[in-house]
This record gives sequence, C-alpha cells and structure tokens, in this order.
Amino acid sequence: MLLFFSSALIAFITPYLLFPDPYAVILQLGNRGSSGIFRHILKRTGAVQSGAVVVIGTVCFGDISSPLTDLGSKLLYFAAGSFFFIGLMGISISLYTRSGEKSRFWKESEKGRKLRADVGEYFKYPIDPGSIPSFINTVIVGGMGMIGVSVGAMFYSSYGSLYELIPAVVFLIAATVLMIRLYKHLVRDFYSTHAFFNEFFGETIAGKEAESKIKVEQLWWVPGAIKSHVWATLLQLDRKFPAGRVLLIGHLLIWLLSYQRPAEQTMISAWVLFAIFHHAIIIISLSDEYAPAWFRRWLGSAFQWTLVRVWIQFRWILILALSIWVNSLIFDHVSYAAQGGIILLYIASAAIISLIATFYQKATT
Amino acid sequence: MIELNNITKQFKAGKLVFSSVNETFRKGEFIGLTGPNGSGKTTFLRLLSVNSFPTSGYITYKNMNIHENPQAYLKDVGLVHDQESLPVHLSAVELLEWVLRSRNLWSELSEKEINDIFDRLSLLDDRNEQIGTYSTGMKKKTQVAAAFITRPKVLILDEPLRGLDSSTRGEVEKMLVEAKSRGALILMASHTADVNAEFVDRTLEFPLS
Repeated sequence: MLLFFSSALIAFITPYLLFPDPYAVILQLGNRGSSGIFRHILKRTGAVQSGAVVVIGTVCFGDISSPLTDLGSKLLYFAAGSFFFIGLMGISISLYTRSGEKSRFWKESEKGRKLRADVGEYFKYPIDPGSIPSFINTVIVGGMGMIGVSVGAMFYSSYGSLYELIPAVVFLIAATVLMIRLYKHLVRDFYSTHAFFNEFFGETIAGKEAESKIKVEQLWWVPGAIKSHVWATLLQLDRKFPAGRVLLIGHLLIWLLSYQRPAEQTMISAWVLFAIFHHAIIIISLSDEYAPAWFRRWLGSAFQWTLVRVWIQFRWILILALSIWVNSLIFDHVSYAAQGGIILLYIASAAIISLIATFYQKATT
Repeated sequence: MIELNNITKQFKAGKLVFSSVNETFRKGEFIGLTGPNGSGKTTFLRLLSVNSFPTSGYITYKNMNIHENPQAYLKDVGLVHDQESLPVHLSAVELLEWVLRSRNLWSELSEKEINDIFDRLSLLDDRNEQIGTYSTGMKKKTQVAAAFITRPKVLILDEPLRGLDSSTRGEVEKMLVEAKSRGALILMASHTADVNAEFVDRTLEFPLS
C-alpha cells in the first residue's frame, strides 16, 4: 500500500522538486558540466529518497520486540521497497528532466496553438498544450509504479516472496539505463527544462483564471485577522501547485483500496496516512517565493503565520470527512468514532506541522 | 519619533559595523544615508526595519522598543527592501490589495488608489501579471508602490531609485516630497547623489564614526 501511494507521489512531486531550479543561476556562474549538474539533481532529490528508505526500513525492521525473527524476509522486503522507490524516482527524474524541449514545442508552436483551440472548443475548458508532456510523464510514472506493485503481488502469490523483487530490480535497471542516456546531454536538457518551467509558472494570468480566482469575500470560514494572508497564500498555491488534482488522485486510490475489502485497521491506517499527506501543502507554502522573510515580518506576526498555515488546510477538511463517511457507508470499513479521530488527527497534525514550520523559519531567517 | 540608544552592531566578534550610535529622528524629517558599498547603510536600515537585531543597545518608536514589539511598529512603516524579493505568484495589484487588507485599510476606494499609484509609477498592463515575470525595475516599482500605498508614518527606503527610469525617478521624488509634507519620517539610503536633493534635511555619512 505504501508503494502504491509512493508511485502517485513520485509521479506528481518530481517536477516540483526539480523545476524551476532556484540554483540555476549559480550553476551557470560555476559553468557546471554534466557531472556537477547530475550531483546537484541527486542532492535536491536526496532528502526525499533517503527519507523514503528510512520509512521503508522502519516499516520492515520496526518490530523491536523480535528484531531477528524472519530477518531474511525483512531484508528482502526492505530491498524490494527501496529498489522500487529509488528506481521509480530515477525513471521519473530522467523523464521530467528531458521534457523541456517537447513541452516548449507544444507551448510555442503553431501545432500547439491549434491543439489548444481544438481542445478548448471541444471540452469548453482551456488547457495549456505545454503541460501535455508533463501530464504524460505523470501517467507513465504513476502507471508504471501501480503496475509494478500489482505484478510484484502477483509474483509473490504465484512463485514466492523472492520473485516480488523482480519489478523493483527492473525499475532499478531501467532507471540506470535512462540516467546514463540523460547524462550525455544533461547540461542542455537541464537548462532547457528549467527555462520551460520558469516561464510556465510565471505564466500570464489568463482571462479565465482572472475570472475564477478566489476572492477575499469568499473566505467566510477564515477569521478576519488572517483572512488577507490566507487569501494571498491560497491564490499563489493554486497558481503554482495543482493540490486539488493531487488530492483527488489520493481519494481515488483509497477508494480503490477499499474496494478490495481490507481489514478496518488497514483502512484506518490508509486514511490517517492520507490525512497527514495533505500537509505537504504546508511544507510547500514555506517557500520564500510565496512571501519572503522580510515581507512576512512586515505584514504579520509569527503567531498569525502559524494560524494561516493551519487555516489553509481547512479547505480540504470537508471533502476528506465526506469521502471517509461515504466510503464507510458503502464499504462499512471505519466506525464513526474512528472517522472523528481521523479528522481530529488531521487538525492536530496541521497545527503541529505549522508550529514546527514557524520555529524552523525563525531559526533560518 | 525614533530613537537609537547606544546601538552597536557587529556580525561577529571584532567585525564592527558601527558602535554606540545615538540618534533621534523626528516626524517629518528626511534623513539621507550616504556612503560607499559595504559601509553599513543597509545594515542600519535593516535594524530599523527589524530585519536585523542590534548587538547591544535598543531602538524605540513612540517610546516602544521596536525589536520587542515589531508588529505594532511595522504597521506604521513602509519598506523598500535592499533586494527585490517579493511574492512571485501574485500580480502587483493583488500584492497591494494584500498589504492594504492586512492593515485593515481596504475600502471601496482602494482599487482606484492602487491603479492611481501604478499609473504614477508607469507600471501599466503588467500590473496584472505575476510578479515573477517582472524585470528588476518593475519589481522596484511594485516595492515602492507597496511602501507608499498605506501612507505610512515612517518610510525606510534602501536604494528606492535604483533601476528606475528617469521619469519614474522624478515621480518617486514627488511622492517622497508629498510623504514628507504630510509628516512622514523618511530614511533613505543611496550611494548616488539622489539624497543630496534639496528636500533632504540631514545626511548621515557612512561609515558612522
């Protein structure tokens, strides 16, 4: 289940981790070659990769009452999980880093313009053709991961636990091959993709968006003292990060899981993990690009900013509560008490993460 | 209005920026800060904007220690920071709306006031585009507009004219004179001749002796 979620996470998070790269100017000043940029990319994704390996290790070896029992199986699961995550992340890094040129073609060419007009006419909704290569990469990486998990489970039930390693090893080999290919033209591909994402996220506020953007008056659920901060933060987050779509995929995955009728404890764990996963948005909102340190200090207090980060998370609470409730009505998985507990945990974890974020910002500015 | 009491700032032991500074800045005064690069002008203004803390001594505003009550002090302050760092995913118009609303100054006239100030600063159609797409000069205009839109009692300006074209510089100078005439205290750093204009009351020469 953890790997299933990881696949979706890797598919979505990779471009946001890497592009546009705030250190691109420094890399250019140092005129770094392929090896320098390669190390830089590994460093920027290293925290996520090593964090994932630690989580997988904790899950596999967390049974401290009998640490040596089934050690062979535990090592096997640890290897399968780690290879799977690192391999899929490598594939994702390689695909996204090479996507700049194709994305620019669709965004700037006549063919792209025609596609935008046709699709806009057909669906009555404007799409940016420049986002198509990224969307395809998301589907490929997410799909590969989910298929990998399913194939691994099938091998396990048919041939035994050792065979569960096969998809993970295949991912690792594929990532190595793709990375070698990426390395050859890394400097060109890296700057090309950086430039594309830089321009893409600095996009013109198109007519449609200008009409549909959040208005301060719509935020009736926010206290007056922090309303303007919540408004400006949500407005910027919506422009940079498609959180709604990411969370929708999360809901779909959990519903897919519940369809397989797992035990109540498994479903509660899934909802708890998903509830905490929402707060990745708080981490994203800490970036200076949403409000530099001097600007934060100028407009509000540390207490206000802590509250702001909790309040932006209330946007998703009703959908989460509704999804758990309807899901439990249909599949009879989670008791009302547990549902309440998950929602309380959602609020408490938002408050704790926001408080830690405040101390982190105080310490680093 | 603002008093500096025995202010000493050093970045590390032995690396003194200035020592035991005592100054009083009054309402309606225009203080120019001049001196070469690295002489401490920006550090001085960062202390006054609570973006830096003194090694020793204290600064008061209306008898209130500004480093102990930053929010109460900063609501009266307009800032042009030394770097052009601003929230990049908002437009300049939205940024000013944020600044006004956060100070409970939003009214039905605010949209017009925002458009008027950008007209004065010649930030035309781009005022509705994301700040991340702006040039250095356009970011500076946005900072200047954000500093002036609240009609602050104190203006702390670090090189506000740098990167601006000549006609906009003239307009900012007019805005400075207007602010001074309504009683605002202005502290403005520059290493060019800007601060030698006739409306400067007093010049602080850096490094401070």
